Amino acid sequence: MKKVNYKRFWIMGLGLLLLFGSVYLFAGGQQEAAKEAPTLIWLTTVQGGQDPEEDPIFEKEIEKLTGIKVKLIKPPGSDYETKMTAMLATGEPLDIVYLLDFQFDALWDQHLFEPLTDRIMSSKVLSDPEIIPMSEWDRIRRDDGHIYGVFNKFEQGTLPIVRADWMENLGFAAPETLDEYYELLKAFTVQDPDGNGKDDTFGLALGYTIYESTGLFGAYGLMKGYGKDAQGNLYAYHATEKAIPVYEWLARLYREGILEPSFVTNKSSNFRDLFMTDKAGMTFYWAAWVGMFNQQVKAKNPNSPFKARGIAPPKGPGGRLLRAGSDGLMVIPNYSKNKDLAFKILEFWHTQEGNVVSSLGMLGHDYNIVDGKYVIAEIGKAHAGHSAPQPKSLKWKNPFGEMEGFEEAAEIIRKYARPEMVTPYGKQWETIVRSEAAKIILGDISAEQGVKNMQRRFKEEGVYK
Amino acid sequence: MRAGKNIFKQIFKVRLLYLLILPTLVYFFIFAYFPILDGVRISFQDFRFIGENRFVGFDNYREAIQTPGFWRAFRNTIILGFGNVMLTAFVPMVLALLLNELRIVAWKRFTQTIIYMPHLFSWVIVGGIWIFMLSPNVGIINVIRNLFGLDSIYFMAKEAYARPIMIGVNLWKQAGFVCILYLATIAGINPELYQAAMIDGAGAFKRVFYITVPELLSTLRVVLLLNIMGALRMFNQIWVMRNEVIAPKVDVLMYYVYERGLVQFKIGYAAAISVLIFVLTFIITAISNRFIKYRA
Repeated sequence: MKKVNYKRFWIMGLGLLLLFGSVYLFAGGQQEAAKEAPTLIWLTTVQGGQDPEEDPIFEKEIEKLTGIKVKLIKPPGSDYETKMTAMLATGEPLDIVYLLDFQFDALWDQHLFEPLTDRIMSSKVLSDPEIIPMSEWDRIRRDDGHIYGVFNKFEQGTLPIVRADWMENLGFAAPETLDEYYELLKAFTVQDPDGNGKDDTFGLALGYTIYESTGLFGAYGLMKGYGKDAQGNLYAYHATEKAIPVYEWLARLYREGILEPSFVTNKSSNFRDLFMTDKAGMTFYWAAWVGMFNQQVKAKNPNSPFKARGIAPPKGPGGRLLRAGSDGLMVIPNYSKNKDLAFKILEFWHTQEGNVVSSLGMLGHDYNIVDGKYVIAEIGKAHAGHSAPQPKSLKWKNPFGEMEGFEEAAEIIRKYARPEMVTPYGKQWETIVRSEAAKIILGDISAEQGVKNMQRRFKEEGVYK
Repeated sequence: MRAGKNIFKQIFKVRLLYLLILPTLVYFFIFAYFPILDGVRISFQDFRFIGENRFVGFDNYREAIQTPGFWRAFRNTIILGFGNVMLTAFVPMVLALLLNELRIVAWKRFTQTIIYMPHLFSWVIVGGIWIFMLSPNVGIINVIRNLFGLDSIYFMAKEAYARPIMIGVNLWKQAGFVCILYLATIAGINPELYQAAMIDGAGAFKRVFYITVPELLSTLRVVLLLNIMGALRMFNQIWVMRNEVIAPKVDVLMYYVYERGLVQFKIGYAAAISVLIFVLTFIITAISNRFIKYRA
């Protein structure tokens, strides 16, 4: 057997180690030299292009307008929470992170984020009440008095969206109370509102996110999520006796075939399709979708009589109430080495130029300026807005005008929508209320029993003390 | 002592070979064993992403044991796991025996392909197909029921149907794959055994019962063991097919870990449950291994 020459083996290994070591040190020196122009790492699921190919165009546009280089990391929305958590947990070098208020709330006490209060208050853009009112900043101020995030956009809210052309066909005016809502929805179901001679329509289509129908519960003053009692303990509005009439009202719709029956397993795309394909006369969804429903249906069939409109929620003993959307926030991790530059990007987002990028898109790609006038490109039409179709700034005016029906819907949201209280128990709310509400609506249990079950389960989960 | 010295001497003699397997050992330590050990450490902490992690002793374990949600998920895991293990082991065996009796080769291959195909689809596709097929409005099952004058049933929103549906859909997806394992074993059975049985006057049923089935037992042991090891790690199917109405009947431990850890960010608590799952899997696999008397 031939003897292995170990001495030669070790010398070769040492030589390779020295070689790699030298290359590494040289590369490190190069990196030091490049430190003058850092590239900000921006973790998001909404800002940027509409597809991955557009992200580099967005990054170049930001660099052109701010002089700051950015690189987007954009995991898919469905997986975003998992990816974001993992990246923050492993200390990935991130400079800007986008998250929703409840995600922020769950992470806040991990001391991950930089307080931005002083920077916001000394910013000419962000402290301007004509752009963002101080009351909005106060709303997201934490218990320690600090503000940690900057808004992404006007988050709107959900409201009843109705087929106005069907209402006209059947001679109905906008309903005002739950009883009038019932009459209208029943007529949509049994009176052949589209005149095709077939019994193929439902009054109302909903999804598994029952909370989008906050407008109905709002008639009894019930908001999505939690309130606090006199002792400061949390309670869920939908798990109180006050909600029983609304559950019974929904159960009646299901029993009489007025409510489209797949609501437990419907995803938002399912009930949106039902509404756009003449199968349902009403749904509850985001205000921006009033315009998008009209645009999408008309894009396929310009002669369609389809006319979606947002209407005021029903009035009841609790007045009228809608749910405002959760705040999408941009935060800076406290370990970021580029906090000043990162904040400049957040500030830029709410300037006129930032509003244009966030809503219309990129110059020369989504739109052009010809003789001082904005001209939308074909790709811009298809996109119908970027990460912030409706910027937060009160000064913002869309140079192309808004989509059909959107302005009226947004006005209803501004008038009646309130944000829900942010707590760490949002997931428990969704699980418990969705589950028991669905059983009540399906007729498996009574509304009283469902409310009792909810209260018991909130206690089991440690939400109720 | 002397034996130990001998081992070291042996190792030193072929040290270059041991040096060559060192990267693989390092790889397994870093990516398999270290995360497990780190998970155990985290399970004793009030874990934070940044800053100091407070040691809380057995608090996370105590909280898990005292939370009804944990026991609900545990019960569901055992029931669904048992159903999956048993049906996915025995039903494909019956299918394989039936397929083996088919004499038209083209028809046999076609049937095999049809049965195997669901295994190629991801759970997202399989879940979507079945949610649609079981829907009360346009689902094929309810359309057929309506043709016979029966009312639609909202299968995916009835607790009573939840577990049978989950087990049935899992069987639909996995049966083809397990069936191929059995068919491969059947193909390897010595044909002389059948010829001898026929000379002895054994009919088709007796040949299957006394020759084929006993020959399949070794494969059955492997299938059972693999199923048992996978049973406690059920996640994808539940994540895709669950909804809040049937959640109390189908939420399993892995989903519970996901929800507590990555949705509610209770990392220490989720790590404690992961450790419990690890220990349970280890114990159940060890007991099953002994019971099944699996020999490689």
